[in-house]
Amino acid sequence: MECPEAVYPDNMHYLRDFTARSASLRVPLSGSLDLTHRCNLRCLHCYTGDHSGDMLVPEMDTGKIISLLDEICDAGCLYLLFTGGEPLLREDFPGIYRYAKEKGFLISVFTNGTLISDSIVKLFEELPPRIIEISLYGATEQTYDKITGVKGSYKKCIAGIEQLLARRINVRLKTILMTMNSHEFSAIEDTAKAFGVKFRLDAAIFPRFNGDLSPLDLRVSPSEAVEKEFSDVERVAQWETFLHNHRQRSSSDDLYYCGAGVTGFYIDPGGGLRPCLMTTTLAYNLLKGSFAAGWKEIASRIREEKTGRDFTCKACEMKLLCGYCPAFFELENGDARIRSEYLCTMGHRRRDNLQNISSKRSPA
Amino acid sequence: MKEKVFVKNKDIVTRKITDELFIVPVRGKLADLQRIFTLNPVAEYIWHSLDGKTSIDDIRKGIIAAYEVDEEQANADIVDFVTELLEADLIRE
Repeated sequence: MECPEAVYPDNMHYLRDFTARSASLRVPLSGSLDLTHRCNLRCLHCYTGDHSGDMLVPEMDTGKIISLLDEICDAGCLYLLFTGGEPLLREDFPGIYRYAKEKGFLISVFTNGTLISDSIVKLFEELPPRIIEISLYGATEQTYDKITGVKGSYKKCIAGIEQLLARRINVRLKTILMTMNSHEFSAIEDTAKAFGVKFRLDAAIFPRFNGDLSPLDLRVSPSEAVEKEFSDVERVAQWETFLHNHRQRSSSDDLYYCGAGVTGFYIDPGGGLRPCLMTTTLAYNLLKGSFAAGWKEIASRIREEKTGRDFTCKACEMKLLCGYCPAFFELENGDARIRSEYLCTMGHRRRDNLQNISSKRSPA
Repeated sequence: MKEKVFVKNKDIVTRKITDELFIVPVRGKLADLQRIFTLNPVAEYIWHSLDGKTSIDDIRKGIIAAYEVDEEQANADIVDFVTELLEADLIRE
């Protein structure tokens, strides 16, 4: 899942008090700007990209993006993510990045790492990003290239990571855990350790935005996903901290109780403003109106979405452990109020694991 | 320090979001530290006064007038804060 902030514990290291104040004032503190759906890879699990061409949209030009950066800066955005598709495919990426840095955004970039050039490294060296997050789909050329569908892409990705690290750019690796790379999971994790960088995994593969469900066939079982997640003490500690800090949020009647439309927003390459990447049913066209007007509208509309009396997740105490996401449910089941059984089972497994760990620490 | 004047590092940007002033390092090693700085109202007053012209003594007088603090407290605030800014390389003499 490409959600940069929702329920994954290692993304919660924000300035907590300030974020809470911003949430109460509906300040759009944290945004994702999807610069393009185009990609040089053809990853089997990808929810977007240009697999069949029907998910490509006419992209905003440089001038529109620059004016949007001015608008979102004025609105109070501090954390900005450039993502895609592959954002480095845009020839104007260096200019956009430079402009955003000089506006005072704290910038993250999600990239596949295969297009890292000397000039991009120099740019990141001069204007350091908060983080460059690179997806590493395998620990071997065979597995990685099979997933991306592009021969030679593994070597390019590793070379990209090495280039960035050689110039001390802050890199984090992630992997999308799936049937095709689960046998290499430990080796992928070891690769991250060998590079000395942070690492995260995500097993919650979801359908393509054009309704194609084929990526779901690549999911590993919830048990396997959670087992791998809990194989690392640091990740377990992150879950414990996350639970401790967020217990009170689970009783809300709001359908969405993450940062989407509260402090978080997403802008697609065509100028569609949404509460987050996955909430495809709530959108505002930024080509026809201002960011301020769009933010006001989506922040208000997402508040109107309530759980409803019969929603099975409403009173569930495991809502914090499952990766609860109504937009995910909508994509998977066509209804934001029908839970994902896959996520639900993962929540149960996480709870069981955490209870086991806790009882071992303090036996009765 | 009384007569000294300081100027802000050019490699930073200040952002006012809600009621908070953030100092965001943008370039080079300073930005590489992955830190941002937030300022309380007195610190914000001092920060705005570090314009390469106003002396520390004049800033001190301004704090006393604006925030009704005594001279000793104003001195401590300004020396502590300016020292912190110098150490973080956010200002230069």
